[in-house]
Amino acid sequence: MADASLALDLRPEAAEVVRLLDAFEAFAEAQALPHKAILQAMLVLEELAVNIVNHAFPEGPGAAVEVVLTLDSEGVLICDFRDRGRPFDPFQEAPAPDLTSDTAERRVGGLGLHLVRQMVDSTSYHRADGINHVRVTKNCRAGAGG
Amino acid sequence: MSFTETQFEDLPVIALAGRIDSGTAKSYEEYLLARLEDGRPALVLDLAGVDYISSAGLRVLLIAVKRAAAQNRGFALCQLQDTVAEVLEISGLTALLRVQPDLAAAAAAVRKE
Repeated sequence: MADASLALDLRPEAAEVVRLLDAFEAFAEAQALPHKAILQAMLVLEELAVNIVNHAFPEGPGAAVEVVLTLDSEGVLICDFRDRGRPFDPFQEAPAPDLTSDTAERRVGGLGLHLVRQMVDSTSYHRADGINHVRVTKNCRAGAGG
Repeated sequence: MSFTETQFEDLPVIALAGRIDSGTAKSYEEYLLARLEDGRPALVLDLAGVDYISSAGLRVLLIAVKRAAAQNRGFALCQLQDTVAEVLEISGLTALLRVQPDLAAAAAAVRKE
């Protein structure tokens, strides 16, 4: 099977995250990816997109976020996010998740990126020419349980 | 996204359906917190119809369990789909959100509290 890809430019605002999820779901179903892998990949996309929307542009809405999703012939989904927000490596700088506090003290901060790390096979970040480039890859076929 | 009021024996239950994501989280939060004001002894949520939850949804459930605890009400989740159960497990929230296999177990858990 040839590579398939989906490219979207997202305005950095909350409603655009839902547009990304809906577009990916339709793309993934057209590619006949397993249901569980689709849901896990949606989670990864939502958390990465929300992170950018919420944190990359403290000065107010910035330029569009470029999202390119590529499904290769092996069933590996490569997710690329490029934004022109402030420098931020989500895999190094996000707060550590709180997985153990009691009810009254438990916090959700950092959980989203913790989930991303658990659901993907690789993560990378680099910044060049004023652009944050985040890439994650996930095998979506054959025994890919996340 | 939908909410349905149901009942298990004498216990009011809320059946949720759809995605609990960053787009729907606010609506779920408002709905659940409003239900805590109606005097029910516990917030019992049937998640059989929920196939997707993100950290935005986890935040809503955490707010709901904290509010329930502050009001000395019970709280339980039940009938989670595998994908949702996995997200809660990875997040260390299975015990804190009182996850139970089915409505009978959820009812027993909140009656014990």
